[in-house]
Amino acid sequence: MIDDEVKAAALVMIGLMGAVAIYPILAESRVVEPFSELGILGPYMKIGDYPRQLVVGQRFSLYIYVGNHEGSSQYYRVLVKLGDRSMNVSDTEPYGAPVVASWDAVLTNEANTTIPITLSVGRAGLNQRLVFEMHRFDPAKGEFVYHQRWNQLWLNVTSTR
Amino acid sequence: MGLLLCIHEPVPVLALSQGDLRSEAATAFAAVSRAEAAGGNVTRLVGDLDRAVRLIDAGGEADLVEADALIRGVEAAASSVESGGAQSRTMRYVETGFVLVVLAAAAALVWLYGSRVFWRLWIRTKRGWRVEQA
Repeated sequence: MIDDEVKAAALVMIGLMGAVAIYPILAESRVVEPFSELGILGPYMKIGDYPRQLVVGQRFSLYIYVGNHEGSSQYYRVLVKLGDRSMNVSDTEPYGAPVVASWDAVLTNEANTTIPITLSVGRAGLNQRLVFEMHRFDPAKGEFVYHQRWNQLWLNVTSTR
Repeated sequence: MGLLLCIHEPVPVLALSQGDLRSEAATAFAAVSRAEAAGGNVTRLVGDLDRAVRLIDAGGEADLVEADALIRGVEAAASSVESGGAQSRTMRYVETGFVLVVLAAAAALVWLYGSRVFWRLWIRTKRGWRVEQA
């Protein structure tokens, strides 16, 4: 009886050592929930104080926050597009408005970056939609693909103060 | 009398455009991805590439020249990082396999001789003990 217990205890310890040895290899490329982050921060690097009323050509500052939790390094491109309410922003298709600016970032897994940007709007109009879209370089396709993450700012732009 | 021959070749003008450099950066990133998938440590390469794309965004002439140099450096280093990663991954597999074989052998020894060794050790440690009637 004691023989069996001693044997079982020794074998359990050996089994645990085996599990510890093999775990790093099994968990090496396992990512539970891969995701990327895109955020637009106001001029004070916080969520808030976003511009609402602008004059044509007036420069304003923002910050783009990008985070990578995809399990591997990623090459991101954030496109800034200027449109209006006539077009919808979609989670599956990129926004149809023209690109006014873009910023790139290459991040290792679990890294993030905050990019300071300065923009201005060249045309007057109410309810202009400034859309920030995240695209990601797909090495298999050899091109950037829409990564289904976007933010927007609504702007009222006047020609004079 | 010697003949002095001077050849004036036109010096190639470095004309770097942001578009060209962006596609170069994408190509370099594809190489970095392969190196990472092979198990290589790409932290430095990704850092250099990130710096390069920021310089491309900045767009000044000096920025573009520096970005070009960084991208070329990344492209040059990616293949060695890739092969080094594959090598170290193979080594890791071999080491783990060796550890598992040793553990399996230990398990077999425990199964076959465990109780015998245990009782022999037990007797050795308790051999000085005297049993007395209460």
